[in-house]
Amino acid sequence: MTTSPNIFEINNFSASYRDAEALNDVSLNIPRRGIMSIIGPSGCGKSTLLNSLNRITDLTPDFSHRGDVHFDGQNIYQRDFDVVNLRKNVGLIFQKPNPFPFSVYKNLSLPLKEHGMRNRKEIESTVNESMKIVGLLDEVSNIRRRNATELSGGQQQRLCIARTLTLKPKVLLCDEPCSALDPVSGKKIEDLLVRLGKEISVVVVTHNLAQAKRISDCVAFFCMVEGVGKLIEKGDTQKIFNAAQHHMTREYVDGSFG
Amino acid sequence: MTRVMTKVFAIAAVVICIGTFVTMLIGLINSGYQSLSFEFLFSSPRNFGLEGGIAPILISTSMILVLAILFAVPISMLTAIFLFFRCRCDTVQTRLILTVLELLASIPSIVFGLFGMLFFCDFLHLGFSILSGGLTLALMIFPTLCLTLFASFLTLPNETRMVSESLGLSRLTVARHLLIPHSISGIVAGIVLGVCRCVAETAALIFTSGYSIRQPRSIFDSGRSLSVHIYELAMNVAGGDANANAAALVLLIVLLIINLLIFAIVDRQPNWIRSANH
Amino acid sequence: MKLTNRYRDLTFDVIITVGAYFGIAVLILILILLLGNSFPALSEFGLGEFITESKWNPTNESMPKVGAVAMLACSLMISIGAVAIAFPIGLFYLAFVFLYSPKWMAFLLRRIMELVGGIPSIVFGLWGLITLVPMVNQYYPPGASMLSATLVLALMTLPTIIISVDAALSSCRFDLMLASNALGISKESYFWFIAIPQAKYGMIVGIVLSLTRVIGETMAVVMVSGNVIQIPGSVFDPIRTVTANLALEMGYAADIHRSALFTIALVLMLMIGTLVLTLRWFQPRSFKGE
Ligand SMILES: Nc1ncnc2c1ncn2[C@@H]1O[C@H](COP(=O)(O)OP(=O)(O)OP(=O)(O)O)[C@@H](O)[C@H]1O
Ligand SMILES: [Mg+2]
Repeated sequence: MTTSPNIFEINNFSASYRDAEALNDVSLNIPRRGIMSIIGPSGCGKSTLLNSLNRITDLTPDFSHRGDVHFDGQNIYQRDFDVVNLRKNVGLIFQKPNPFPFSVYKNLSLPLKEHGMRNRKEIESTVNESMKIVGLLDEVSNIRRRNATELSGGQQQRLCIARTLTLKPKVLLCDEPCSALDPVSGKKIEDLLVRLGKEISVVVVTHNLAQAKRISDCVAFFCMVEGVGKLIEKGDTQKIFNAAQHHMTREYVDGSFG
Repeated sequence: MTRVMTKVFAIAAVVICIGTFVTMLIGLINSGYQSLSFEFLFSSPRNFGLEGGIAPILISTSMILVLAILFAVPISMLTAIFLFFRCRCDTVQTRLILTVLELLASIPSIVFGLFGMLFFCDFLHLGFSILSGGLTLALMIFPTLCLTLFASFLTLPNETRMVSESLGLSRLTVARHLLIPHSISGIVAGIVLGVCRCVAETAALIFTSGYSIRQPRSIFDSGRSLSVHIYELAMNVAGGDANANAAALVLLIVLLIINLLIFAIVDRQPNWIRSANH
Repeated sequence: MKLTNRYRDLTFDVIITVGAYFGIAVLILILILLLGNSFPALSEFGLGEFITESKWNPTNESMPKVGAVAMLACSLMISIGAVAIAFPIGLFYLAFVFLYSPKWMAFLLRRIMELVGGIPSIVFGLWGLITLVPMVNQYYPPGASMLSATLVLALMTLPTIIISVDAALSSCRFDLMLASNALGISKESYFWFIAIPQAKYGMIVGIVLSLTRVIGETMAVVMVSGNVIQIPGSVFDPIRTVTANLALEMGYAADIHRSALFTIALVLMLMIGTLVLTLRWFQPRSFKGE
């Protein structure tokens, strides 16, 4: 099982809030390496899918699901599954940058300590490493004093990515990571994701089709069918943008959707 | 018509309110200030409080107060943190606890006094003591304090909660590094309001901490609080009015200082703290 | 690594859960102790006598009576009276704050009420005893009466009512007032016919909660009400409320007398509890703190 090329295997997964179904019968594999884009109109359940993969849907009392999701061969919804370990391995980045309101250094070191790293030297080098990957090491000085909320929006978002990277995740889920940022900051994040995609699995939800085309290796297209979100089509980026099989996909990437 | 009447009545209402309270204050100051002096604050009462000061009473009051806060704050904190973590995913339990807290908050203080008498004084054999009084007051302010703390916790942005969960942070860490620092001004304001209620309380103390006018040597001694002293002087000591007024002035000045403190803290906080406490 | 994290969460959960059930434990303990101590009186007289008879004479050897009707009625009458006096005054006070005050004055008027709200009841009682009672006494002796008690309570509850109604009104959209001004709706009409109906629910909550507070008030009432157990013939007659009776008699009561006192405390608590529960029952979901 663990030798499977896919980090996530989602089988017949449906999700609903209270009685309203948000996702219906999604089956999707997410490879261990490379960038997958998830595209689709608003409200088709993209965020719902991402949140279910990290299980922060546990915080939503109305949420319920059917079907199963395997992470590294283990069903994440089975009883006594180690959620904390899952969250350590699956980073989640939100649309709005959301650093914690304390120093940059503490932002990065807190999750590390939380997951059992005690050695000061080790923590420091891990923090520096992550800062370097996201390109903040040279941009931000005095990280022990500087409050993270004083950084610019783009820097904050990169800090959030660095925060999950300190935990050495196997998957990075990004929910519209650039849409609250200016184009230059967005470009930096984009480049960062491309670099990360060489090592780990990156899933990006985006409304920016050009971006999806630029960065992703494969694309999954979701859409509402009779009020419920469904996976319409999944394939290589080239194929989805140039020769999609489903007419809805073609219309969506052409911009003639609706 | 509506316009004129509204304006007339509104102005009348403000004049009546402010006028009455100002008259009241002036009356108290007028009849109390002669007896108010350094000596009054720092000497022991003589002749049932007709002469002398209120030093041991101030000491008893502070001891009761410190005990009440010491017991009430930790337990309220636990309840409020529990409510914060459960309110989203376990609405039944949350609603049960919230209802119970509201019921407790509505119990008259004299009933808390009777309960304190039965439980702390008799059942736990603490007798009429400062400890009994402090514990009774702790129970009395606990429900309101919980509700205030919970309301201040709810101002933590939902995203922060989501992010910390997505990073796999434990609840202890979330509480310690995010929740409590975020709501610190609300916590302080809630505690200060609790202090105010303790200082002002009379009915819950007359049957728990007792009337002893002597200097308490330990928390197991009986001790009279300032408000009980005012009550005794006004009701049960003939000619005690002047000193009762002076003691009331001291009480008001203490409360005024505490209140100014809250304004300094609460100013930047939204309405909820005030509404939760009235 | 995984284990430590889970273990910490578990320990933490246990501790906060214990904390959370503390409140429930306290409520149950209060009920048990009160019930246990009322038992002798309840079994001797039955609850019926407490809530139908108005004579209170539990120390009488031959014919003890434990009727709480007069005291309960007085408690209710002065509380409702106090709220009925305070509410309209408070509403007009707020009309002034919302409609006619510049910003700084509104701020000041609110702060004043918050300050006044912090005045201890014993101080109100003292003022009533020294100033109000003699004043009433000049015209209608003895002065310590239902009227004095009602007035003192009204004054005490005024800040509470103003603050809670203010909170309810502030949740309405007063920024629409300007827009409706442009439509020719006067700000007074906006206040009475748009804002207040919107804030109706919050206002009712505020009123009922201050009513429960007033019913439970003890010391101020003891000091100004005259403390005679009777159903008053007029507002100038002295009265005694349930809470006042508890404060006055518990100090020396023994045996069945003491038990009867616990019974009336229980009855009072149940009354207030019913009020609070009813209010919560009718609360729309958004008010329940979720
Ligand atoms: N917490 C929630 N409670 C109830 N319903 C929800 C909740 N979150 C999402 N939904 C519903 O689930 C459906 C899918 O929402 P979701 O946020 O996953 O869409 P999305 O594809 O991410 O949209 P967008 O592109 O606008 O972010 C929507 O119909 C939404 O109303
Ligand atoms: Mg979304």
